[in-house]
Order: sequence, then structure tokens, then C-alpha cells
Amino acid sequence: MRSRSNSDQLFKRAASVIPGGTYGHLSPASSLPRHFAHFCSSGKGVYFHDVDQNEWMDFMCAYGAVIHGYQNPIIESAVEKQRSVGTVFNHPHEVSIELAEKLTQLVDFASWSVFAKNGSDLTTWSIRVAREHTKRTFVVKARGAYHGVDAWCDPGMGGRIESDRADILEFEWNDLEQLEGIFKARKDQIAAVILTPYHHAAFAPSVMPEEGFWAGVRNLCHKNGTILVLDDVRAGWRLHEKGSHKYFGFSPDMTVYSKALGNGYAISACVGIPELKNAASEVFLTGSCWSDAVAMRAALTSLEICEKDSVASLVLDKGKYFCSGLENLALEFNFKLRMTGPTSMPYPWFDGDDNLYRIQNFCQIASKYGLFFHPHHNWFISNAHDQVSLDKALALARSSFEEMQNEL
Amino acid sequence: MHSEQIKAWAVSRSIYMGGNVLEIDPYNRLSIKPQILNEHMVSFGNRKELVFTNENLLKLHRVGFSLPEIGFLMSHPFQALKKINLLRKIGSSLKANVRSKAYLRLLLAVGLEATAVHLNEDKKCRSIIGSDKGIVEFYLDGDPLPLASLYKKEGSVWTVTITALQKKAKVRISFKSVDVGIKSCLGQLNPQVCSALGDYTIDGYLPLMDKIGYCARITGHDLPILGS
Repeated sequence: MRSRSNSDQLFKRAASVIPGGTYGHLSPASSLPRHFAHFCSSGKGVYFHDVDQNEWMDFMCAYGAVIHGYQNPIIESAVEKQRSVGTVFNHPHEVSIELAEKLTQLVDFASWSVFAKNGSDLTTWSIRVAREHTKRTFVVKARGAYHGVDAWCDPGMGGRIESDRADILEFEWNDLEQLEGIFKARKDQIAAVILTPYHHAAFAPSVMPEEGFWAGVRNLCHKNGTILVLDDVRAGWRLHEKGSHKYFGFSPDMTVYSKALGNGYAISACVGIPELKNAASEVFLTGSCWSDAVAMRAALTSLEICEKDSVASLVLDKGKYFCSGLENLALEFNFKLRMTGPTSMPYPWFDGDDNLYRIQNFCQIASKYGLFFHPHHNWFISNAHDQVSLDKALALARSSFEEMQNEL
Repeated sequence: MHSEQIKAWAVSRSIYMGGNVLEIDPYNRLSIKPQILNEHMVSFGNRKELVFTNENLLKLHRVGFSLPEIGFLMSHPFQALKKINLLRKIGSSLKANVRSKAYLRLLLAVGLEATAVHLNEDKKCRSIIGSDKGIVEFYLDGDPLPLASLYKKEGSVWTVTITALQKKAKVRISFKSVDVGIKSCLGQLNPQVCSALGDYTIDGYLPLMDKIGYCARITGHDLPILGS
């Protein structure tokens, strides 16, 4: 077990003034509370340090918010320059136009873009735009999919009333027949279908779209006059430099991005087709610091790097090397590990481990070697991972498998 | 079941579970097995000599005393008094406030029984738990056997047992100490904070424990384990 006295001390301090000490996806309770640190002190590249000076090799990338590694020098330099002239003013900064131009140039179907801070800000706003445009009520989502923290979709249980989800309908991912049934049952009533590019639920292996799924969804939406919203908050820029819809070969009507977009600076964006531009201007959208020029500069620079260096392809390739390495190592020790989902953001799954004891055990052991492997969430490969760091991680993973086998 | 009935049923089931934990002899224990007479009344045992209205059961839980239905009581007054004594024994054991493993087990099983009733009957809890099933085991750190388990099998309802089950648990909670366990049962600890600081550990399928924990807190809010 790594030292954790400062972590615990800080957590006790936090718990006296912050509900639960730490909340949401960062709550220790949802990961490995006695193996992971509770607070970080710094990060650079693929490594971060906790408050007890432990170094960790990162495979979560701030839960996806970082794609170029912590403190990427090109982004930080652009950010510093922007910060020196200010960030939030009485009017937007010119960088907001530059960023909107960049996004509409990159994303083939998009003719406009708006900005906020968090994925949820815009997944919720996008379904309101769909309702405004279609003058319809219902929204369809995949069961178990995460679209944010608002009452219509959050995974928690508190503070919810029945009416919060009265207009939300669900179907099983990949089940086109079920989706078609919903369209039939609610003819001319469905405003939007909102989906992630592939199914990346927590506590479960990721599921890729089956052959024909996206074409089927697109076709159903088109036939029924329903807006197709792609929630690319988590996968955006990790599958394709021009948006995940390109990776799967379909075209949504709106897409929401966040996480990797700002490489750690809080920003989200929604882009859409020309036909939705009027509806978009009718649905109120604002936030005191949403015109944050620093975050926009970070996003613009991050997108430029993504495009110039084909970062999505790079992280997919790096992920492929790492995932197959890890699967082969597991086999050497007689463990059947599958790295599910895209290789740039794989979810680890031991066959037969429905109750998660094995993955929890593996990640606990790996944590002793300084590997930040999350047992319940998909991992993230950043472009700061390189051959050296991935090989080092695989060597440490070997020791972890060996130790796990010895415990049996 | 309507809300008052659920609470009253949870109180009566919990009392019965208390009898199980206290190892009251099987004959007497069965004599207080609760039965729903109608939507307003519960009988302890099937001979109907000790019957409470829902309202009076809730009063019994709140203040530790309330009147059973006299008409039923007069049918077999001696038997009824014996049962009242059993109920009083269970009630005073619950309020004993001792820091022992036996007391922790009693509080835990009684609280879990009330939660099980909510998971089976309360609309909100039913919608939260959905079709989830499996075994949730509660341990005291270092013990090989669980203190109590809450489980649901296919096609069955949520049930509490204090005997070890043979199948593998879907999730396991282990209290670091008796004190932590008792405070948890009494709703005096924040589960996120406790988990972070290692006061208890949770292994296995966390989403099931999240749901059961939330429903247990709903139950605890409706029916504080030691009354008001």
C-alpha cells in the first residue's frame, strides 16, 4: 500500500465542508477508495503526483478531459498568452469566432457552434433545440447510457421526481427493432434520439455498434422527422480527428463535445446542421463565464494539434498496442481479459467477472505499482503515452498479474 | 400497500427479525410472526390475539408503547400478554445501546428487514432497485461469516437472513469495527466519507449497494431504527 496520510488528512478536512468530501465521478467511493489517492498535487505528460508524493502513471486522463497529456507545452503557452490579456469580459473575445470557425470546418455536417462549460450543459440544451425545432416532446436514449448530471438523465437517485423522466424513452443499445417500436408507439411525438457513438456504460463492458445500427438509427430519425443528437462528450477526438460520426460513417444533426476538447480547460461545444440554426437561437443559453477566452484558446489549440498530428489515429494505435499487450499478458497468467470498446478508450473486462471482484483485485494490485487503472470506468490513452511509458506500464501490469495469480 | 401500511408492516417484520437475532425459541418466535389482517391491521401470530392497527404499530415504534386492539386481545388474554412481553424484550434489546457484535447484528438485521419491506413494497424503492437481484453480505472486519445478508433470488422478494448463504455474494460490505457498524445502522455516518476513509470497505458490484444504500436511507428516514 502506498503512503496516503496527507490524502486522508485532506479528505477529512474536505468532508467537514464539502458534502461527501468529494462528489460525482471523483468520489473515492466509486473507485478504489483505499488504494487511489484522494487528492492530486501536479501532473505532467502521462504522470501525476498525489499529495503524498506518490507518482502515478495515468490511464484515466482526468476521466477523459486530457488527450495531449497534462500540461501540454503548446497548449499551455497559448493559454498563458491569452490569460495575459484577460479571459471573461462584457463581450465575447474574438477567439470564440475562431473556435466556431474551426469546429464548423472540422465537422463536416456542422454550420454553427455554441459553447458552454460542461457536457451536460449542452446535451440538455441540444434536446431543447430539437424540441423547439420539431415542436415535439419525447426524447429517446439508450438504457444505461450516461448523458450528464441533469434530472432527465443522471445516474444518481436523489432529488428526482417522477415527471423528470416522464418524456424520456429508452431502448437497449443496438436493438433497432425496439427503437422502431418506440417510433411506432409515439408517432410524430419524438423530438430527438440522443446516443453516444458506442455504448460506454460504467460497470459494464463497452459495446460497439453492430453492423447497420447507425444507418438504421439515422434512417429511422430521418423517416420520422426526429433530430439525431450525438453525445460525443467522452469519445470526441479520440476516434476520429473530425468527430466520432466519421469513425462510424454516419451523420448526426447535432453533436456535443467536451472533455478532450479543452485538454483540461472547462469547455463544451455543440455543433449542428444549418436547419437547426434558428431553433438554436431561440433556446436560451448562457453562463457567466461561458465566454471564457482562456478555455476557448485551449480548445482551439488542442483541435489544431489533433488535426495536425492526427491524434485520434495515434491514440487508437497506441491503445491497440497497449490493449493487445495487456490481453496477452493476462493470458500468460491464465486470466481471460478483454479490452472492450475502442482501443483509445478501452474498458477492461475479465470474462465471468460480473460481480467485478477480479477487476477490482487487479486494479488494487496495479495501484501498488503506481498504475492508475480504474476498475469501473473505461480507461483513456493520451497522446503523451509513448512506447517507453506503455512498455513500462505493461511490465508493471505483468507483475500485477503475477501477484494476482499467486493470491489464488 | 399504502405508505402507512408499508411502514407498519416494516415495523412488525423488523420486530420479528429482532426475535430471530435474539434467538428466541422457535415456538415463541413463530407466535409473533406478523400477518397482515387487512390494509389497516397487523396480527402478531396467526391466532389473532395480538393485533395492532397500522397507526398504533407506528406509535409503538415511535414511543415504545401503544395499545393493541382490545377485542382481539380479550379472546386469548394470557397468550396476548406473553406476546407483549416478547415484544417488550425485543424492544428493550434494541434500545440497549451496547457496543457489542451481538448488538450490531441486531440493529443491522432489524434495519435490513425494514429496508427489505421497502424494496418489496415502496413504489420509489421498487423503481430504484428495478430488476436487480443477488446477495449483499455484511461483515465485521476479519470475521469469516457475515453478520447478516440481504438477498433476492429470481422470482422472489428481497429477504434478510442471519445465516450464511452458500452462493457467492454480489457485493460485500465489511465494517472496520463494531462502533462503525452500529453508527452506520443508525444512519450517523456518511457512506461516501466512510468508504473513502476505510471505515468500511465495499467490494463487488457497487451499483447494487448504491441502490440498496439509498433505499435504506429512505427507510431510515421513514422509520429511524430506534424510533423518534
